[in-house]
Amino acid sequence: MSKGRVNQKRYKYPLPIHPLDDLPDLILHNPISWIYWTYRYFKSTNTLDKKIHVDFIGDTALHIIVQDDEQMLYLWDNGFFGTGQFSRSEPTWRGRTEVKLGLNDDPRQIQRGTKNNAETQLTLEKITQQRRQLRSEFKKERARFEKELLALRKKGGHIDEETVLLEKQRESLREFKLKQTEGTNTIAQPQDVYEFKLRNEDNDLLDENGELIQLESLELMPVEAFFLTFALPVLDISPANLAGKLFQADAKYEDIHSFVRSYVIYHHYRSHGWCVRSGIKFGCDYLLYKRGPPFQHAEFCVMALDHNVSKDYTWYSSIARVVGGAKKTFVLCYVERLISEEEAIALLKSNNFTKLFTSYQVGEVLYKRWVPGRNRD
Amino acid sequence: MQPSEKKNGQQSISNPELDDEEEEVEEVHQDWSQVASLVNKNAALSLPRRGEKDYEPDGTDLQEVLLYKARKAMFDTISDSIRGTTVKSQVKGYYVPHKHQAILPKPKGSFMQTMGRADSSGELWLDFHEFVYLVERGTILPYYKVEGGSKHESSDHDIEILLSMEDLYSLFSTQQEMDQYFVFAHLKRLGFIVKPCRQDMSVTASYYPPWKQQNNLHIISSRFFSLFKIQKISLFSGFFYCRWNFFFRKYTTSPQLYQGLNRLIRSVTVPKTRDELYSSVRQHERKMIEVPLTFKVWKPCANFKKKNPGLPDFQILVYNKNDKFQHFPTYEELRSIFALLDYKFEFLNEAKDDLDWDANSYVEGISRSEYNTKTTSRSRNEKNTSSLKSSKKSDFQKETIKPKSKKNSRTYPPHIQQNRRLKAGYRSFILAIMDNGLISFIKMSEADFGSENVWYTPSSQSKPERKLKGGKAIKKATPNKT
Repeated sequence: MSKGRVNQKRYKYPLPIHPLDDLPDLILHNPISWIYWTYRYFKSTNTLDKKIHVDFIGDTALHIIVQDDEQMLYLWDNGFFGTGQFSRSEPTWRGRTEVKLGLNDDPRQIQRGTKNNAETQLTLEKITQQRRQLRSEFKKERARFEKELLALRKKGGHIDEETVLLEKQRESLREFKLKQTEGTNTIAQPQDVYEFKLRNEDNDLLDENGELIQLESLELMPVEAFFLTFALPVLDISPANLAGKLFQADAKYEDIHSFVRSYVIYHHYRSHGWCVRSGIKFGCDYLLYKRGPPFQHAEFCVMALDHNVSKDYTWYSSIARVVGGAKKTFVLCYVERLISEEEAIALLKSNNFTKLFTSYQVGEVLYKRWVPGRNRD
Repeated sequence: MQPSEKKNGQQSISNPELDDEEEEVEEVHQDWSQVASLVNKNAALSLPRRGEKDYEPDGTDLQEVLLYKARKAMFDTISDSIRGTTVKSQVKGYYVPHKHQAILPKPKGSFMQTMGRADSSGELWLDFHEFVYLVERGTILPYYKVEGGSKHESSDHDIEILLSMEDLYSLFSTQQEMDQYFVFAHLKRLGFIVKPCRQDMSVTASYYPPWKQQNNLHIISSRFFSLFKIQKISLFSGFFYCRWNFFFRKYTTSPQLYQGLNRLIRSVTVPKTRDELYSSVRQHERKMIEVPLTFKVWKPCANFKKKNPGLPDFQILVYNKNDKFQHFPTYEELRSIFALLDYKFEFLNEAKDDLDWDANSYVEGISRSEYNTKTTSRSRNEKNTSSLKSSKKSDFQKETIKPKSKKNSRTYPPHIQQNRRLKAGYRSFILAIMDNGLISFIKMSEADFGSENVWYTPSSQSKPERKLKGGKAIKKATPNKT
């Protein structure tokens, strides 16, 4: 099975609420199939059998975490919610550590009971590590060539000689790179980049049966948690309770504004099918993925703004530069409140979230650097 | 036919990314070695082409030598050409203070094709920024005329004072005017044709047809529908988010779920087609914030007509970052700017191949193509009435032939088209930011993520193929099975 096929199966559902797609075939000329279909239709439900349990920790800053292994994975697999605390995004710490400690060669096999090929064994973190290694090898090669060139210069070589040498070097660098990429394609083995020695403190990670203790949990952004309870009944906490955790009882509008704005934007993009994740790594509020991180790079970076706000130009330009450098499109997302502050806070207090969120409106503007010289014809 | 089409489709998939990559390449600077080779045939041999960058001194003097040679090539090239003006071809421009313009009594030169306004006596009036630009280029000599004794036209007594560049710059009335001049000059030097937006041209083209009362019905209907949309949001959303939703309703596909989620947040819909553009402008006329656009810009073109320029390619707003009284536009301001825009809306080209802009813009109440044939026939002498007919006919033919020839190149699969729509947006303008003499340009365009759905439809059976939902708002597309 190719990697794409595996992902296709693993991330089949874009939301943690699954549609009823296991209904039997309805055969028109067979009434029994109608009955069976109706039975199955009414028996099945979209909701989860067991809602996902969330814990709240922290006094000053609220952390919303999911600790159960399977539930963590469920939230990641069905819509890419949350971030593993010891991982880059998907909670992979346990699997990685098991491999590192030599407890288990194929972590996924244990974790999900399916047999995958060697390729999927590579965690994202490992792939990055490999890529960095290849890159540094390439750089070493390049540095060697640069030294050669310098030697020629010091000898007082003519420009023509230099160009010949440069041409030759470029050619061999290209070949080197080609060989590297071919190498990774064929040998997708998890090569341990560095030797690992078991340290004393590593023993603390194991329980009495020699099993690794799960230390990692999945942390949800407040907007994610709210989406998972208000829009889709996935978490075992009601929207009202969650709002009670997020805000003080005597919250003023300023206190809730940024959350409401973030949620309105989050829900807006989620509801149109985007996979929305935090954009903090790119200096903005949200990243928009089509389908999800394993499938494609994020194409859009979203920054939230109030509709009547104007920032200093440096603010826009610095974010746009970062976003542009990552080859993404910069979206300014403006949010307008259509009701008064008092009404908004009253709606929140009365837990009328639907009415609250429908009283906001979003509008988008794309921001892109324009180079006159490239727009002449 | 089919295989070739398929090939086209494949190419188009890679194209958008190619475009992006191209954009990352920095502006190409002038390579003087090429120019030098024209002047001196041997120079090219010894001059290095622009190549790899050296990041630090490498201990040899080679870098110095290369730099010196490149610089020398530039100076050699410049020093070979004759500079200054010959007395015969000298064009004098006189600054007229009370109009803040300049007058050229005997204008000549190619600049007249795109700049200035001739009056009845054959004298050419230049706007101040055009004047400064041409002086800076060395095309005209700036004079200040002090009228001698009598007020009558006795040019013998007039004293002409030749102005310096500094003098001219001191004549800018505001910092804002100077900022606008820098942007103007920058674009001008790159070959663009730039006109101030507020300038009264003899003929202004507009994308919008003249306002007609009959279309009231259209507005009413569009308003009605927008009302309906808001209604729909508040009616349906209440139920989806209520606790019992999933007890009563069953969702058999993910899109159904998404459609339920869809009905919560309102988003601003932006005009995407001609009809939407027409109605949006009329609706907007009431709540407008005045943010005047600064320049209209045309791409360099040889047959530019000053009197009847047609729709511009871009519109530019100049804003000084360090001016306390100016700020980066807020969303409200951006929206009113978008509503004011009147240029070749490039996104309309996406939907329809090779849109004929002359047929789709209006001059003095009639479409521009009509206007053009009218004026040409007038100039060609009224007797020849058949010329009008024939030219009209040829115009007509062009319209019908053009789309056919280019159609094949634009058949992108729907998800690529959608991606392009999302990335390019709709109406757009260029914002030129001035920061102590440094100009940066930004393209601001309206986007509408609210009417595009990108969710992935999982294939329930044995169909592993990609099925990205493309196309515009597909709210009706999926059948409701419940």
